[in-house]
Parts: sequence; structure tokens; C-alpha cells
Amino acid sequence: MTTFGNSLIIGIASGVTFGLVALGFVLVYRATGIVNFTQGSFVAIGGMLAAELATSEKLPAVEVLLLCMVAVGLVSLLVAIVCVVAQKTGGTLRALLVTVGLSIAFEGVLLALFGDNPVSFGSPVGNKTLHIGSILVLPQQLLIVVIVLAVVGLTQWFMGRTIWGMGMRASASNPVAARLSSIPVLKTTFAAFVIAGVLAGLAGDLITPMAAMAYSSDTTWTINGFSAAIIAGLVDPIGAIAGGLVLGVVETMIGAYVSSSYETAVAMIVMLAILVLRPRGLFSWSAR
Amino acid sequence: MKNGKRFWIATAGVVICALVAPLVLGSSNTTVWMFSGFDALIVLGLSLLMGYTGQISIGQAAFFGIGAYSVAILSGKDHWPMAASMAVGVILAAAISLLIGGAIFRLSGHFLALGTLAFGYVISAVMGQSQLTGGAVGISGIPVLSFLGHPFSSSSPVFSAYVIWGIVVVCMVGFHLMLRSPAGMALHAIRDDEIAAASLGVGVLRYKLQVFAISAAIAALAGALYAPYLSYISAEPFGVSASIQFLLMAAIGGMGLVGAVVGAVAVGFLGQGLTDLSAHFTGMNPGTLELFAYGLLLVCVMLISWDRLKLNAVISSLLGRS
Repeated sequence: MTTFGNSLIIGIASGVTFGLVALGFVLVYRATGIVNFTQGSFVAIGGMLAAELATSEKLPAVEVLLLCMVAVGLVSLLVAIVCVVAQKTGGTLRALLVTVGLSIAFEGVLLALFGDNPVSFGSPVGNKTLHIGSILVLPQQLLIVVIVLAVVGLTQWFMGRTIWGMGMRASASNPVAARLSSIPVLKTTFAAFVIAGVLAGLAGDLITPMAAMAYSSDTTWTINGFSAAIIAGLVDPIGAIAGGLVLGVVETMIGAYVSSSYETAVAMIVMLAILVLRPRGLFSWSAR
Repeated sequence: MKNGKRFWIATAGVVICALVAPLVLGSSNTTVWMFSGFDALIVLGLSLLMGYTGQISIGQAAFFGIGAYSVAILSGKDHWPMAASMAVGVILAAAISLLIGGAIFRLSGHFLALGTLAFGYVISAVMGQSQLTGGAVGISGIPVLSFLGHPFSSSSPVFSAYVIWGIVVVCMVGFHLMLRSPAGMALHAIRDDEIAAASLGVGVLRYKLQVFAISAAIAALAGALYAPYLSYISAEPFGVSASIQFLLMAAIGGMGLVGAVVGAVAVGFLGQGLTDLSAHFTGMNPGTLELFAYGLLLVCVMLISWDRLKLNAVISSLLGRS
């Protein structure tokens, strides 16, 4: 029973970070129809940068977090510009291939900057294991869940109650009408990319104290994040978090009870199954 | 027909290169040329898929691996005759592609791309970890393949280069003839306008599946030849990064048949050149330049949208509207 409980906690923590990445996928996909392969790269960039800043520069945790988010946000703006150009000249599939190429290039940059060893850093909230009943919980895991819930709440408020958020939703559902209503579609597209990037960078910063990040980790994160988004249905940001949770828990359970080497393969199989059996996803309660 | 003549001229060029290259290239370059032959086979299939049905596959390396591991397991471990195990590999790859394709072709472009990525990742994880495939260690002791009495293996690179490139040329010609046939006309129609083709009664889904199966089969064929050539295989060349490299080769080549070959050779020698170059920079990780170059190259190629129609236009204007 304790294995189950411990695995559940680990699954929830990793699952909500998948959810953050999935949220980013959903935002960009709804805004542009592009599936952005660099989402995983943003996670890796965020994580490795955070590790570098925390261990070499010994900056306080909050500064590390903010710097990471800003850095990844700038990178994602660059990606956004390239993607929009690619989509205008060659369509959505070419933009997708452009993001594939960019993710490879980012791997090269990370390899050049940080070497080929996986990096991690000490959790800012310490390593003292807490006990909930007989279940072991690390403070970092609680931090992750708390921050993600806060982010989700913020996103809901942003998308539902601010002009920017509502403009993004409008541009996503009908760009022509949005433009006619003087909503700056291009800017909201860029905003979607930047928000997606910032969230992914945040995920990287949160998860690296628990799981080392390497220059090649981007593939796994892209796969996990996108699987979570597919499971949820690529429609609703909250659904994306739920999809991430489902995926994280399933993966960790399989890893604990069957075999740890097939964890990411599980993500793929689940994603394939959903694509085939229920392409709408499990959590697509918004109208689509 | 202008297009037809250009193809045969280009093919003649490939044949000349195939005849001459192993003789003039040094031994290490001949090895690169040799491996480009395998890549060319795989990319021929991928270019057919991407150029004529518009489907992106990031999973071709998995089919490459299925062919290789079929031969390794059946002939290497269970001592089946080579021809049988190669046939099994090709048929298995085609069958799996029909299964996967049937499931995900109904979905739109990017979902297919991600479906093939998913498939490629799962297959490569299984190859790297399962008992059957030897796990991380791989399988060695694969018997040697012989053509006309000469061994097709890394011990005789020149002869092997002739064999593999001979097969490449045969496949190029075969695909070209297929594209000129009625079935090929249907593929052209699908490429130009899928909806119009469907409205004219072309079974679009059926053709897409068939092309996918062909691309899987030729990749498996390459794998079935790759295994005995090296006499040892591990899961490493069959992963997602290999699939992405094949994508890059197809993209550079402009997704045509000759382009596939050009792309495979270009990327192969580019990779070798980058490895040599990064050896000059001490302290730099060997993979860095490659990753950076391949990534940027893919981005640039996609931005310039170098597809066959544009390429034809450029060539026509260069030749003064011949």
C-alpha cells in the first residue's frame, strides 16, 4: 500500500508538470494550429539554466525562477517569430517541421553551454521527507503541486477575465472575426507562444531538483507534454492539467509495478490509444 | 516529357557516381558513401510518402530497425536462411505500417506526425530494452550475406558499396516507373489536390496506406541489408533522432526521388565533415556542431520551402526554359 501511495505522490507531482507543458501545447495549438515541438526544449532550457544559476551563481530560488522564466520567454518569442513566418510561407506542417529543427538546434546549444552530463540542483525547500500517514512526501513535490494549482488559477482568470486572455481565445477560435474586431491577432499569437514557453520553463525549474535534466531531455518532455494534451483533448487548459495528472500517475504506476524502463513508452501507447479510440480526448468539455 | 528526361539524366548521374565513388574516395569516405546508400533507400520511401501523400513520418527508423532486427533474430539467433528472414522483416514492417496507418491516417497532418513519432519511440524503447532484441547490448554474430560469391560486409566496402547503390538505383527506377503508371497518376492527383482527387473517385486513404507500406517495406529492406553488413546491431541507429535525420535528408532533397538520394548523400557527408571539424575544437562535445547544424538546416530548408514545384521552376529558369 505504501508503494502505491508513494508512487501516487510522485505521479501527481510529475503529472502536474506534464500538465504545465500540455497547457502550453494547447495554447499554441488553439491559437495557431501548430504543434510546437520546442515545448520540451523550453523545459530543458529552463531546467538546465535553473541548475546553472542555482549551483554556480548561487542565486536565491525566486530569482532563479524569474530569470529562467524570462530567458525561456525570450527564446519562445524567437520561436514564435520563426513559426509564424514558416506557417505563412509553407503552412502548418512546415511550421511543425521548423519546430522540430529548432528543437534539435536547441539541443546543440544546451550541449555546448552545459555539457553532456545531466544536471540537477538542491530543492529550495529542502529535502526533509514529510510523512502523510505512511506515505513519504518530499517538500519539492508539495511545492510543485501548489505552484501549478496557482498557475492554473491564474491562467483561468487570465483567459476568462482579462482583455488579453479573451482576445487570445477570440483569435484562436476565429482569427478573421478577431481581426475585424481590432484584436491584434499576431500579438496574441506571440503571447500564446511566450506564455507556453514561460510555463514550460517553470516546469523545468520545478522538476529539475527531483529529476536530473540533460540536453537531450527535450524529446521526453515534448512526448509527455503532448501525450497529456492529447489525452485531455487539446481544447481546454484545465483539461490539459487533468490530462497531465492522468498521464503522470499512469506512468509512475507502470514504472513502479511493471518496469521503469518503459515509462515514456507508456505515454506514447496511451496517446496512440486515445488518438485512435477517442480523438476528442477525455477532458474536452468545451464546445469543439 | 520534360520531367521524365530530367529524371533519367539525374539517374544516369547517380549511376556514374555509384560506379566511380568507391574507386576515388578514400576508405573512410567510402564508408560514408556506403551508409548513405542505406539512408538513400529509406529516404526514397520517405520522400515518396511526404512528396506524394503529404504525410510526415517521424518513425521511419523504426521500420529500418524492424528489418534489421528480424534478420538479426531469425538468422542470427535462430539460424533461418537469410532470404527468409529478410522477407519476414519486410513483410512485418509493411504489416505494422498498415496497422498504424489505418489507425492514425484518418487524423489530420500533425496528428499523423505525432502518431509516427509515438510509434517510433515505442519501437525503439522496446528494441533497446527487450530480452528478445538483446536489450542494450544488441545482437551480434549475424551471418554474412553473399552476392555472386562476394561477401556483403564491412570487410569489403567497395563491393558492398556497388551492391547497395545498385539496389538504390533499381528502387529509384522502380518508383519512377510506378509514378508514371495509372496508380502513380492517382498519387500525383492526391499530391496536387486531395479533395479534388477524392471527388474524382480516387481512394485517397487506400493510396496513402499503400505508400506508407511501401515506405516501411523499403526501410525494412535497408535494415535487412544493414544487419548482415555490420554483423552486429544495437538499438542505437533506430531511434527518434535517426528518424529526424531521415526527415532532414528528405527535406533537403525537396521530397523527390533524385532529391532523396542527394539529400541522403549530402547529410551523410555533412555529418562526417562536422565530426572532423569538431575534432579541431578541443573540449567541444562531438555532437554539438551536428545537432546545431542539422537543426538550423532543417529550419532553413523549411523556411525556404524548397519543394519540387519550386525546384523545377528554378531549374527551368536556369536552363533558359528548355
